[in-house]
Amino acid sequence: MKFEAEELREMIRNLIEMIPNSRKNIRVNIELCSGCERCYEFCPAGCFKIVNGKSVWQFPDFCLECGTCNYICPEDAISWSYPKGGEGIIYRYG
Amino acid sequence: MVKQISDYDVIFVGAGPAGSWGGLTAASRGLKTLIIERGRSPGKKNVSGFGFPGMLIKRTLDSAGIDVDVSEAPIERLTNGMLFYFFDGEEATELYTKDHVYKSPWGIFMAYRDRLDAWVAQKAVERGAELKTSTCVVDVIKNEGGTVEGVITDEGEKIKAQVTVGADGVNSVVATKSGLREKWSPSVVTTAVKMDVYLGREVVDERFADSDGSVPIMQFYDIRDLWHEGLGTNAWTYAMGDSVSVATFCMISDMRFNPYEYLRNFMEYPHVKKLLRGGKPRSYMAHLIPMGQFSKIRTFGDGVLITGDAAGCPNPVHGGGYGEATITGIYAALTAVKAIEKGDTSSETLRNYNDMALKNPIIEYKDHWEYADWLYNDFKMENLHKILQSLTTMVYMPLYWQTLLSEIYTPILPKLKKAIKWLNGPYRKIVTETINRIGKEGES
Repeated sequence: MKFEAEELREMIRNLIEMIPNSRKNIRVNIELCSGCERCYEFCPAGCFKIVNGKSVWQFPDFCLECGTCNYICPEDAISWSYPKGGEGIIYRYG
Repeated sequence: MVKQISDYDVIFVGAGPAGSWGGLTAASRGLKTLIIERGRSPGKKNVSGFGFPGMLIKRTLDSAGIDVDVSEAPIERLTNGMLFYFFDGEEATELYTKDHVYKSPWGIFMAYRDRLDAWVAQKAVERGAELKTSTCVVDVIKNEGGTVEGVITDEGEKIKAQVTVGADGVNSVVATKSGLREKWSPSVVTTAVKMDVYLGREVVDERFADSDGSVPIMQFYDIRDLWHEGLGTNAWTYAMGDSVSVATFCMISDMRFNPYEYLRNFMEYPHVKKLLRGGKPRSYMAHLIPMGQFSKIRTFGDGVLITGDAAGCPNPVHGGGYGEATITGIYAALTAVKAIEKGDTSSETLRNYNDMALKNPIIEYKDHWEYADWLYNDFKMENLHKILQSLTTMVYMPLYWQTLLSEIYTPILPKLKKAIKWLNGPYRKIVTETINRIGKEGES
């Protein structure tokens, strides 16, 4: 079964509150990315998209800042940091 | 030019339990204390399962001379025990271990982190700590000798302190930038996803609560070992004030489905579906938990300490980390107080933090790890064994909570001693050592 990131984003659209990130705090190094799609499949917010066989952090405004992508990438191709202070996810009922 | 605007005795990076309880302790002892939080207010980035494990941390707070009335905290509900569900397809068995020790603010109460963390941070501010929010620490200041002398924020501001405490969670900047540890291995980090489902207070009362409104903490096992077929490795349900939170967990190295898939499959289980009937999801979140790494990493350096999830504190059996973070935060503060009094904040002096923590049975979990290995790795056999492992966890959890409550366990020591003969392997060792510990504390 292929995971549908779009459905996931649709589900969480109404459930999260966030201040959009003013900078790209997560990046995929295209040179290192093998196109295994693990970040796409396992991101719990569906933030990644595969474009021409490479991963792109395409939907930053859904990012839950958990770090799963940072640990799941077998090529260590993801450079990961938190968004700027005060930006990003605002959890309620956490 | 970046200017140094202020000097502090101690900076806690992160206003979660380690940073806020630690900051409260440091400020109470007269240290000039700063707590830096990247969220707009404390707790807005944080996720927990069940809330405040008072019974784990009361002794540490007492010994640090911290007097806080937690009955004033934003308590969603008091708990009354643990409820274990064992699934076998459509069938389920429930085991409910009720215990009066849960049912007080110093037992275990349910709380939301956005409210609880803000409340504790406010207590720290009342005792004199400064709280700086909406500020993300991106690096540490290091001198030529490698001593950590403070932090650098995302605004480029350099803030100096004699001791810098990394209380900045699983993806800690302080821990990695100071060189205390590398990024975690995916085999020790769990992705937890949680959904809060609104039901209304009356429905929660009727479905989950005793007449006094207290609720059980609910843990789920699938005895057919279906966790890896789409149910994660662990699942919990938490009854809150007017809602129910559901959460599933999966070790990153074992992940075969998207974390949300595990949660969705869990919520579709007939029994869980029944518990959530008529509910309306109102929030969704994901967070990582580093399991049981404290004793395996370096937690202190020149001018720097790491605490809580930043130091891999969560218990490897059940993933609980609030109490562990609180205890290490307080120990970090006490260590900083002594080091600053002595005028020596080198790693030689700060080492004391690590020694203190490893003497605390809540933090020193060599045996817990053996149990976790045994539980999750060696014991994957037939159904009977699945039930047994669930049952042993059921015994383990109350013992774990109550390790520090010798006054309750001392009278039943003889019975416990007799029960040891039914136990095997590392579990026998844990119970034996627990009994020895209680015995010793009973004498002193």
